[in-house]
Amino acid sequence: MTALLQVWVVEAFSVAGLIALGLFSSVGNKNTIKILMGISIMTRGCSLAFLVAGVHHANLAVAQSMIITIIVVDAAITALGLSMVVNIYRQYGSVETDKLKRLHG
Amino acid sequence: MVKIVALAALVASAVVAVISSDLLVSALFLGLSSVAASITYYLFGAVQAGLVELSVGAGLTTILFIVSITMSGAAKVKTPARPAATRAVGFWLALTVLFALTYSMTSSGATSIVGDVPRAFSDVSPVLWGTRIADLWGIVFLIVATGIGVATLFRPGGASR
Repeated sequence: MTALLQVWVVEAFSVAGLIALGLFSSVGNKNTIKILMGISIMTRGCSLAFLVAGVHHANLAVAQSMIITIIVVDAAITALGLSMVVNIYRQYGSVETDKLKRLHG
Repeated sequence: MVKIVALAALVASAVVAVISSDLLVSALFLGLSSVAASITYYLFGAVQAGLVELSVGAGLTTILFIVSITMSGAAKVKTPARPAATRAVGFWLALTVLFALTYSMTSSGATSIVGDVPRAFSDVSPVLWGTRIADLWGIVFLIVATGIGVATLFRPGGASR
């Protein structure tokens, strides 16, 4: 039982660590590229959570299919976000969120 | 033990990617964390997911980040911060998580994360092409929509035209 608890702690804290890191990078930065990197790290933590759940419930096939979906969606989000970043740089000359004030009232 | 090392490498490279002020270094360590993630998936028995992570996460996404950083000319993070309180909360949260992870890894009973992986359940094809075929069409639609969006944003003049 103790070993099971330790196993759970290791996996849970790996997942929580990745999600916390991604959250820290997304919330604590004004650079849009860093924000996208944080989102990517957060989705990696979610993928790991699905993997751990699939292993523990002996249903790895469903977990793998969910992970593949997450990876594809993450790549799509990253591609679209980075093209928006490049577009923002062309419009504003910067990728900092502080400069994006055209819609401020 | 190898699984613990792979998990630690995943978290450690993600930490470096977050705290580095050089965006190119951050992108490279993000790719490295993707490689560590794919190794972790493989060690857990999710072979196909590891392959997709290695090709898409470590390959495509890293190249996209490097190209965008080069195109935008923003190799360094210029402004350091949100308010200090926000950064401090995030920093201590991440630090607590990391110390707890290190403690649990070094304590007894955590030398093996999972037992033998049930290989019979690890074939993803019947699920992906059978049970979740509707989701697969959604993914195809998403990829096409993303391609159109990226092409629109990357054309000369961007989305303002």
